[in-house]
Formats: sequence, C-alpha cells, structure tokens
Amino acid sequence: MIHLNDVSITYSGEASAVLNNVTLTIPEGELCLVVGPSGSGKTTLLRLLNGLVPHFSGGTLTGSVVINGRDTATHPPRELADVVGFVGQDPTAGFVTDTVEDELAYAMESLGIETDVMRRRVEETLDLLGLTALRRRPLRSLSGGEAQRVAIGAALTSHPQILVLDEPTSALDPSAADEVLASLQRLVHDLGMTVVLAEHRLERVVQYADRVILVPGSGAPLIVGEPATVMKHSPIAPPVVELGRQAGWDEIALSVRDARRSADALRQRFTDQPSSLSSFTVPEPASKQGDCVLALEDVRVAYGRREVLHGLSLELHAGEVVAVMGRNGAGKSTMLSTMVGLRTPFKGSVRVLGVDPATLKPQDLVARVGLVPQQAGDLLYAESVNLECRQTDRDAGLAPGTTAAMLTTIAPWIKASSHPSDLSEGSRLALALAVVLAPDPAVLLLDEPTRGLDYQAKQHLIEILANAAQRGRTIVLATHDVELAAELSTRTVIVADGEVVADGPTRRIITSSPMFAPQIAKAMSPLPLLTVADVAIAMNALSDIP
Amino acid sequence: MNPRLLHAGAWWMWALGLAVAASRTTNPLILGLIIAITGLVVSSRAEKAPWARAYSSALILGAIVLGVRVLFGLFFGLAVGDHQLFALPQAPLPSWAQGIRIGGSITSEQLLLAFFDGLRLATIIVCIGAANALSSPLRLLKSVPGAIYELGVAIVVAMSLVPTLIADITRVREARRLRGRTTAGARGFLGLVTPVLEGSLRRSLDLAAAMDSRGYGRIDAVPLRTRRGTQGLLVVGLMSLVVGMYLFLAGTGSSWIGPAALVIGLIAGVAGLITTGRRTSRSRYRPDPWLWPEWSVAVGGWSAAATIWWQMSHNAAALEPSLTPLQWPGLPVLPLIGLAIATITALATPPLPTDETSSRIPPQLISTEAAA
Repeated sequence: MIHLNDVSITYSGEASAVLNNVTLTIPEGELCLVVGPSGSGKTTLLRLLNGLVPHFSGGTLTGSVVINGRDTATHPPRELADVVGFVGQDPTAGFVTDTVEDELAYAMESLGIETDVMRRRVEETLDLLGLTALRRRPLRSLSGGEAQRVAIGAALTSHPQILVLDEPTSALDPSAADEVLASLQRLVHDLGMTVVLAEHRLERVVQYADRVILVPGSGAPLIVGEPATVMKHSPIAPPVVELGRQAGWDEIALSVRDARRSADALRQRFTDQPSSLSSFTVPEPASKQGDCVLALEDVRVAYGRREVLHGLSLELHAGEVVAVMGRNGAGKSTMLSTMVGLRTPFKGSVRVLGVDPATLKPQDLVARVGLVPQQAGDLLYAESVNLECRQTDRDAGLAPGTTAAMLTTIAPWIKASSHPSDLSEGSRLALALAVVLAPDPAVLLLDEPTRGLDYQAKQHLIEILANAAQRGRTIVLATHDVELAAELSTRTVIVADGEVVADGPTRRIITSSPMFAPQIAKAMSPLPLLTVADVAIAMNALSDIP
Repeated sequence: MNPRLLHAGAWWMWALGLAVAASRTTNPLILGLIIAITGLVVSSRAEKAPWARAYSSALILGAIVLGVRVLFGLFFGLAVGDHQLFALPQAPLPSWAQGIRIGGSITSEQLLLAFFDGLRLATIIVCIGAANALSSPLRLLKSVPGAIYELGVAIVVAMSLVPTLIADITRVREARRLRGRTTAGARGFLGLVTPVLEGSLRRSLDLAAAMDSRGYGRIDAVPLRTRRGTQGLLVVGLMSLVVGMYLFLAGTGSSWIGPAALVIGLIAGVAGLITTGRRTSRSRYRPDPWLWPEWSVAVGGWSAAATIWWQMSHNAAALEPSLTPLQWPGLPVLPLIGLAIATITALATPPLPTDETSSRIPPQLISTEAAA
C-alpha cells in the first residue's frame, strides 16, 4: 500500500536531511502511529505520503515514495486525492466551504463523483462519525472536537484507502479525543483502512496502534515495530510505560487495563504498608495559603448575547499552581482573558493585587499578570529572538538584558539571531514564556501550554513553572493535559458551562473524576498516586520500611 | 408546498428585475412601491442568518445616498422653476465659472428633482440589499457554471477570510496589550499589520495545501483548438452582453439593437461556458433545484422591468413626474400590474424551512461572536 524506498528529503537552505535513507512499507489495514520529539520530521514523513512534500514544501527528494502504485514524484497531491485522505494539524485551516455538509462533499466534487453516490456517502459518513446533528452547522461555529471529526469525515468521503492525520487529538479534551480515536478504530476494523497518524499524546493513542514508527530526529534511522517493543526503549513514552519501567515489569503495559493487571501486586504491597503513602495525604485546604493575589467575584462575561461565564467566583493565592480543566468551549480561555483584563465582565469584579486589570496601563499590567495565549506565537512579532528580548525590556521598562537573561535560564539553546517563526513549537513557547516572565508578574496564566509539545519540552516547561511557583508566583494553567495537571498543579478547578463545578487540591479532584484522572491514577486507583514520580517515592518509602 | 430554500439565482434575478425597473423611473410612487415590496418579501422570505442584515444596511445606505443627493441638489443644483422655498446666501463666483452656482434661492422644483433622483439610486441599492438578504451570495457562487468554478471558489475563500482577518486583528491587538505595548494610535495600528499579514499568508498556504490534497484543480487535457474556440466564444459573448446591457439600461439607440446584442451575448456566453465546463470533470453535491417557483420568481421580477420598459416606449411621461408645472405624480396602470406580479410570485414561493424542519443555522449561533 505504502512503499518508501531509500527516501531522503532535504529542505532548501538546510544543511542536513530531515529524513535519511528511509525504507518503509506499511501494509493495508494497519493503524500506524508515528512518534518522535517535536521537529524530528514526523510531519514531513506524513506529508510525503500524499506528495505535499516535496510538491508544496520544496526541497530535494531522493528515492521513491510509491502510494498504491503511484509515484509521488510524478503525481501531485491532487492526483493522489482519491487514494490518500489527509488531515492537517489544524483542521480548521483546511476548511474550504462554510457548512458541514458541503465540506464533506468537497473532495468528492473535485473528483467528479456522481451526485447520487455523493449523497449516499455523505449520509454514511455523517453516521459513521456521529455528525448527523451538525450537518447544517456553519463550520465556524464548531467546537474543536467537532471540527476535527468533520475534517476526518471530509477526508473520508472520497473513500481513500489511506488516511493520514497529523496530531488529531492534541487540541481536544479527553472525551472528545476518545470520540475521535474510537471513530478511527472503526475505520481500521470495519473498513480495513490504513491509518497513519502522528501524535504527541501517546497515552491517548498507543494502545490502539498496530505498529509504531519512532522518528528520532536529525536524520537518524527510523525505528519501526510492535508498540510494546518500540516503547520498551523509546525516549518518549506514555506514563503507563514509564510506570512499567519504574516497577521493572518484564512486559510493557500499553493501556491502563494492562497496567492495572500488572500493578496488582504493587498496589497490594502499598496497601499492606500504608506508611509508604504517608507523603501523599491530601493537605487540608487553608492549611498553608499565601496572600490572595487574584480574585474573581461573581464574574459574568458575554460575547454578544451569549453569556459564557455565569457568575464565576474564584480566589487565587501566592505560590499556588492551579489547573483549570473542562471540556472544549467550557469557558476556560474566557476566564483567563478576563483575569488579564482583555474581557470586561458586565457584572462582578476582577481584582489582581487589588486592582481591576482592565483599567491598568499595558506597562503596569505586565508587571502584575502575564498571559501566554493558546498560540504562543501571537506574542512574538520581532524579526529575531534578540530584537524580541530588547523590545520586551523597552516595553516593560526593564533594565536592558533582563529578558535575554531570562531566556538563557529557560532555554539556553535558542540562538539569538534566529527568527521566532522558525523556532520549534517548544522553543517558541519558551521564548514567549521568557517574554512574559521577564517583568516578573505576580500571576502567570497559561492557556493550553502543552499543545504540540513533546515529553522533553513538557518536562522542561514543568521545571520552569515549578521554579516560578517556588518563588511565590501564582500560576494558572488552562489545559486538557491531565498528565501535566497531575505533575504540576497543587489545586484543580473544573469548569463546565461557565461555572466552577469542582475546586480543591489536585490529588483529590482528579482522582475522583474518571475523565480527568491521569493514567497512573487510574492504574493505581484507589491509592492517591498520580505520577510516576509519586510511585517512585512510594517505592523508595516501601524499601526503607524494614 | 414543502418548505425549502429557493435557488439563490432566482432571488437575484427577481431583485435585479426590480432594480432595472427602478432605474428607468423617477416616479416616487413607483419607487416607493418597489421599496415596500422588497421590504415585504425580505421580511417573509429572508433566512434568519447574518447576511439577512444586508437589507437593513442597504436601507441605511440608501437613506444616506438620498440625503447626500438632496444636499448636493440644494447647494449646487441649477435653479429650476419658480416656487421659491427659501434663499441661501449665494457665493459670488468669477465670470469664468458661469453656470456653476453655490447657494442662492432654493425652489421646490429643485428640491424635488434632487429627491426623485436620489430616491431612484436608493431604490436600486435597496433592491441589491434585498437580493443579498434573500440568499447568501455564497450560495449563488455555488451554482456558478463549471467553467468559472475555480474563480467562484477563490471568491468564496476570499470572503470567508474577512471574518478570520478580523479575528486575527483582535488576537494580535490583545497579544500586544499582553506584552505591555499600547494598541492605540497610528503606531499601534502599524504594529498590527506585519503579524496579521504573516498569519493570513501562512493560513493561505495551509488552505492551498489542504485544497490540493483534496483534488482541487484536477484538469482533463483538452486539445488546443477547442480551447481557442471556447475562449473566442466567451469573449464575443461578454462583449455583446456589455453592449446590449448598456443600450438596454441607457434607453438610447434604436429599439432592437440592445435586446439583439443581449440575446447574442447570452447565447455565445452560455455556449462558451458549457464547452469550457467540460474541461473539468467535477460534479456537484446537492445542486439547488430550479423548479417552477424559481421560474415564476425570476419571471415575476423581470415582468416589473418589462412593463416599465413597455410604458417607457409608449407613454414615458408617466414615469417621470412633471416638475413644470408642479404636479402630483400619477400612477400608470401597466407598471402597477408588473409590480403586482413581482409581489405575488415572490410571496407564492415555498415557505422558509423552520427550525424543526431544517434551518441552516441554529438561532443561538447567529451572533458572529459565537465563533470567537
């Protein structure tokens, strides 16, 4: 079905090849997962499969990519459209029409499929992906999960034998991600479709994969194999795999179910020795709380006539790390922008260190509260990293060099001369963080910070943020990433439909919710262990007990 | 009749027919009737969708145009008639500027002349606004012939970029505030341009890649001779259409050249479009049907134009109310019948689908902010 024969690809202006001498065959009916650090060439590998590389990207391709008998060197993407369905990283960026139904039909129209066949396939696809209720909706009004499913549907209607997806769940909340993955599994199992997908959030996907392709980056050879084999030594692995390594299991568990079975003995040992878990007792709230730095009081915010926040009240204290979770469209982003004064509530009050942020001059604002928006790149607009740092010093009235020094502590590997938009996702986030952290705001807000980040970049982010929290800064994360929340946050707020539905210490809140529980919590439930690090501490404690 | 949306082209034909009728008369009674008819039809047949606001915007725009036209007529118009209303101070002008007058005495004839003329313009604008409100221009583009399909897609994409561009500007402005920069003033605005343009360029590339991956622009090979032939047909067709349209609307020239050129242009154009359309092997999903309600609406709209035209060639005086002597305008019977046909056919169309049957947009999503 897919044959890559000794393929190397070098982009123009780059010294070394992104992919080097790749030989790979993917047979029909496989769900193939592409993993690797960000910037390693996963997207390039995917875009090779329908000819977007090199027809759209430029660069030099050697070797041959043959898809269902057609060589991509001589077939541009449009001539592979009937064989390969492609869904890019941002599904909304690929929408051509304006309503769901038209979008589903678009590719078929281009292929000249007959009207009655089109009609039937649209109906089938609507059913397959559970989109029937959305058929007449304008594409702009869809939530993230809905948009992703529509994009998949739009790629499916032309009945391609191969479906290629780039990070299909990274923007989705856990339940929406499950929905998408469930539909993909149905495609593989019921229709025998070949699915190739790249994903950073392995914990969501790896248990469904038939085969894993590890792209180590910088032109190193790919590692291809069964998920369990590849995961055993992979530098990037989901928490359950890390748990297996920590506990020294022979067989690597890929799903929570497998991990629970393997962890049976371990759980028993912890339960027998409750003292090993003594460091995980949930502290009573108000036991150690700093000063209140940010207060929302009965805040109501509306877009037009639609009320998004319905009387939300919240107090944040110095040194807290608060994870704000909830499904797509629950009002998390609105809450953050209200905290920083970009949205003014029509009722209720916002106080940051006693002042309404909307009334502050921009310069005074940044010293009190900083927000890293969902697209961190929005914050950057200078020509180079260096100029970006100097601009920040000037804007915030800091001593020259402050931001550059901050960037050096956060991400020493970033070259001062590079252009911000050429940086990898993780580096760009680090730069945006440096820009926001330089004026040393008392409150730092991050909207969906781990989108597109690999495990290493994520680990690094966790260190930076934990460090800032130690210095008494308050950090608020709006996130779908339950693993991040489990590792970093001390308090979790769950928002639904513009209201706070749960608020308390992270350990208590996320273990009590099956939707927001991280993998380790599910595997170790009912013990209060959330992360691999927790398990390691408990195991140490266990070995200290005579 | 089953509730359904009418073919977009039908509403545009209808509204253009009324606009053509309006362009041929300054009779305020007829113009007022036309505006009233569009208002009635829009209120009963326009979808509850963002573009339905086009009608009220057109009304406002029409009122502004009318106001400006009247002001200009008062200050710069020629003195016609002798029913002086009041006098403005007249600006003395040198002798070489004779024939131009600024200020001076204002007569009711002068005021009415400007008012009638402005009203005609305003009515045409309102008709176009009604067409926009009755069917989204995007839906009209969906039914363009295969030959100019790619142009149609380009326009659709460009139009959908406008809202995203606005969203982009808001986002970048907010980001600037987050960095402690001012967002007001010219410098603030200039700072927006680069990031917004950069963002839209990147998005265009993404979209181009996505469209290509989905088979946009697959073309079947055509021999050179056929291609030349169709190009010739299209050029001839368009040219005679333009000439015919001009003669028809300007009302000059002998009576048969205009319609003849129109007919030749239409035939050549349609033939050209059909042969070019064979080049791309596309198909169309759920094409809007063109059934008898569409025919009746289109014919109804143009019957108004036709009756006005007929009236023009037989008793043109009734279409342009007399100012000397000042008279109350009469209402000619024939155009009245034409307008009645336009109204009845438009109101006899299938009703709009309601929320239960199948509305295109749920009411809670009408606000554009919903997308933000």
